[in-house]
Amino acid sequence: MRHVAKAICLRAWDYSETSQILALLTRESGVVRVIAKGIKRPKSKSGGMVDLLAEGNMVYSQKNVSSLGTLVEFRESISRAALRRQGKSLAAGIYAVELAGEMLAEHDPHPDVYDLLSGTLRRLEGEACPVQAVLAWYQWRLLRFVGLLGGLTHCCACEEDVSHFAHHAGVFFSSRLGGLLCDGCEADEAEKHHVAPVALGAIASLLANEQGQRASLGETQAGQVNRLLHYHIVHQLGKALRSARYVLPREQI
Amino acid sequence: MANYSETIQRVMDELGRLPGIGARTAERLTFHLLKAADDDALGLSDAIRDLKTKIRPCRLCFNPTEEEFCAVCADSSRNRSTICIVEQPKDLLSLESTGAYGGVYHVLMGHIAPLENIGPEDLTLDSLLGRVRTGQPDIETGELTPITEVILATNPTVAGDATALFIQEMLAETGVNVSRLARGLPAGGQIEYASQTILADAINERKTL
Repeated sequence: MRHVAKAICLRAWDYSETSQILALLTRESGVVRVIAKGIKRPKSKSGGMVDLLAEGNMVYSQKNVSSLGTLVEFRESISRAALRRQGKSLAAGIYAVELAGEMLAEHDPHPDVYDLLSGTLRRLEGEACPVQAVLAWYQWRLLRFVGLLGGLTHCCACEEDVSHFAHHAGVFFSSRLGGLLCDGCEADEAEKHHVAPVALGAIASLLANEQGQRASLGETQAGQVNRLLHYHIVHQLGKALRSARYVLPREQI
Repeated sequence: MANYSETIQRVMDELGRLPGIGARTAERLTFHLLKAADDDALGLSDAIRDLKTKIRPCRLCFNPTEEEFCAVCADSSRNRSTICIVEQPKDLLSLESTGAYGGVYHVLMGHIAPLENIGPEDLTLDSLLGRVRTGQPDIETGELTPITEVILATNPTVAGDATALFIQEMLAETGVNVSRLARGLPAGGQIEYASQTILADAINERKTL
């Protein structure tokens, strides 16, 4: 059966001299894997190989969800030329597609994640882009969309409001329990991550942004949130992301 | 059920480990070798042995060679103040075949590919930095020529771009001029078939006539 979809390339493997295997996030069908036969030929319908981060309209055929699809055509609709000229933005873009690929199951449609990823890649192309802030918003929203963000206003063990702890030495976050812990509950939990007051302030900004208010996020604040979210992601996936070392400061990995 | 002898099976298994060779092709090649003249089959065996025992990376640029230094580094007529950085030895040969470049090379032996777990430490970057800092020696006299320009000839892919950006940042402290191969429409290509990225590059890097 033939399908038409908007797609972003999450991974590309060389299959032969002229063919590739691609993992793409489609807006309509979630992550799909296809073989792109002869795509690296200069006069292929798709205009050459499909590279990581490429976004466009694709036509592919697939008999059933368990089989590898066949790419008929990929027409790039958005150029990534600007993104590919900036080291930090490029690293963040690679991290963003790796995260999407790890968090989503194949053929599980998530148009919200597609739009989020597409928008994030576009924002990263801007000159002097606040990379950590863009990445914090991306990770935050992605975790929200897949239902893994966790409780960030109340203690996930006793449901006490934790917002007033921002004025103290911070609180702890337990990925295992799925949220922040108050002072009374954190002592009983071995697996936890310290959340500094500055990160709690950033969390408040992200929550405000989700409610339509415009709250700005500084790069230092965003870096702290990224540290927390990365810890949570690693715990949920059971493995580290390969591209994390290029985008997060070394002590955050 | 009859099986192939251990020796035949071993050859098939070894050939089957080569890229692009499946079980059926390995079987066909094995029987081709079995039927071939002794000189032909053993010649292949000797060639593979020589490949693994005689070939080594050039001490300066990592281009595969049978000597201590490759033919390019040993050629005193080359412009030793310019280094062209390529990902693979076959890229070096492609550039050499144009006859348009007269400097020396540095082969990275790969590119940075975060999703494949290939990082800067897997490439020959330490050696490159050392060469740029100390200069390129004349193999015969030992005289050092300071490096004035580094040309990044990595592939125009995301991995190639990431590698080029990393090297550009790494070399910033040395003060050497860093340039990158021009990118855009290939000669013989057609605008109709070009991707958005290629067209954007072609427009951004257009030349005044």
